[in-house]
Amino acid sequence: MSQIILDSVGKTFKVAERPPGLFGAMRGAFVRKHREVKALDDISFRINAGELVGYIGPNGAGKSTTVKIMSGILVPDRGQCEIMGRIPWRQRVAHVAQIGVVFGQRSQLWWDVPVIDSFELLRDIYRVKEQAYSKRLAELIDVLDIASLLNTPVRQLSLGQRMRCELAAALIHNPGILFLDEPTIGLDAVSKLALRSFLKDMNTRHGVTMILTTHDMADIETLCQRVMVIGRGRLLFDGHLDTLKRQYTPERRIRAKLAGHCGIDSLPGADSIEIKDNEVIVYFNPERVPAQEVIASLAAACPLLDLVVETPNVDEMIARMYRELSL
Amino acid sequence: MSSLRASWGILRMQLVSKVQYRAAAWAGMTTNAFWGFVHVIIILTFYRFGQQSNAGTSAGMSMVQAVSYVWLVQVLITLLSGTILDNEIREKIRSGDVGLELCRPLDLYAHWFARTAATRLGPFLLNVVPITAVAMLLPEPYRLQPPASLAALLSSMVAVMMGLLLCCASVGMAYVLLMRVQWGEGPMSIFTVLIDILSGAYLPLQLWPGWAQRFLMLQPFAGIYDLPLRLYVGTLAPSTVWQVLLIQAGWLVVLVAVGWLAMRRALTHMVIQGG
Repeated sequence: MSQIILDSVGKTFKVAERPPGLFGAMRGAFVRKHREVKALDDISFRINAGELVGYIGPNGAGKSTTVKIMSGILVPDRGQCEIMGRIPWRQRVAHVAQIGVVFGQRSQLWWDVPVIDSFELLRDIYRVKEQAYSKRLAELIDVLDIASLLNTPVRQLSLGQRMRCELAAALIHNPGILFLDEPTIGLDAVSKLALRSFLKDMNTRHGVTMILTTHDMADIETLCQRVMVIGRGRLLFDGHLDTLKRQYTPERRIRAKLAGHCGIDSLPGADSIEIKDNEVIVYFNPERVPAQEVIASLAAACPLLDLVVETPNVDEMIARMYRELSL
Repeated sequence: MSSLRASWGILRMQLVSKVQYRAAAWAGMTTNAFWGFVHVIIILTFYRFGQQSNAGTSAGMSMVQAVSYVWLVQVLITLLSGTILDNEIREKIRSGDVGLELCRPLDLYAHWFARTAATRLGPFLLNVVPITAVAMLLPEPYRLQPPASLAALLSSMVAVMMGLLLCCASVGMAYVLLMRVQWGEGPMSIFTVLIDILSGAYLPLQLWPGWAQRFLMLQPFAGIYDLPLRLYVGTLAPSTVWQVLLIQAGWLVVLVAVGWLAMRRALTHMVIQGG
């Protein structure tokens, strides 16, 4: 039984448009033109309990809109959405008691007061029993390493510190589902790594279902098996990350350092070859020609000092996919 | 009510965060005192030169009572003003952070109601003693008089508490207007000024023309400043407190119901800006 079900969900926004400049503004006061923007066209997917799904797409693709519909904030125009047996916007209060939400660009902590005060207020809001609260909080404080931050007002925290507190705040009521909307945005490398390992741990040890939207492909690579790609309000891909990689980056490249001169301009089995100074880069597709053959023919043609086989990284792959789908 | 405990938590937190800004509190108090003084001078001028024949009484309200009324408005302004909106709520609506508020298992209307009450109680508790003291220590005829009687004081205090609820419900409607981000700003400003005028914040409603009195007494906002203050200065007898409370309670029910429904409607039409 799927925990999250979306069925042909659509959402259209009206955007007011007016001609530029003062004259346009005056005319706009009388005549308003509206343009309809399809934020979501026809989105359907199912997610089972305990999955950790990456939800990616270019800016404005509809990721946040989907998350907002699933968290009961927005009401879709069309389609069905059922999460843990509830319709989020109809049974909003009951629904949100069971989920946690982290928006990387917005804070859910109270700005002026110490972090611990926010936690205690959340305890009251979610009506967490005192015993369960202290146990849960102790655990979160320990894993997220926020003991020293508890008495600091939120406005004095760094982004990385704040984000760790945000995560604790989102999990205090022990939700079964966690929506993460760009949680790593703006974080430094150390904070990102800490956050990822925390999410991984929450998912595997506690079985929290997670949907993660991000532009950082390293988030996706380290965390997600399943990836959904959205573009212009439509779901373009839903499957295993490796499948996505095979589909969009079939080729590998060999980067080799030369020990001496190498005068070739083509190589049997390779798609293309570039020679720059003392380095040679060979592109090939392992599904057509095995690496062994390409390396052998390269070694026969050129004197090699060193050699690595690379996969274009996920960023390149995604950029290429967005281009190919002309998003 | 199920979210009572959470509302109390929000109230407590708002109190703490408001009280900690001392400089803002002092600035606010000075403004209150200054504005009150100017207001008193205007009232005095009206009484002295306006209606000589009435010898210092106008529409059943004496000059001394009117001056006290003006000071009481300044004492209560942080508590009952219709034009003071919670900046954080405004900012939340504008930036779309209202979405995060919706991620809480709370009724948004109740949540904001509690918050509004709390953001008003904090500054009020800071202001009430110093402003009352300053206003009472001024020379005649500028000073705030003691209440007409102990019963007048007690009945007006009860009515002020009810007035706070009425004020929160009125301001709640202003927030609902703001939630219509595409057009709500203008109507909201007009509406909040209207609350202040009709609640008697600028001029005691008794000083309005006689033909308007019945309407002014029975419209929803009279219960915010005007009716409680009439009880204090003694233009309404303490025994009429039940009628005052009835008018207030009736409008409270109406305003809360309309505000709650309007908010539910606004939420289904909501557009969250940005990302």
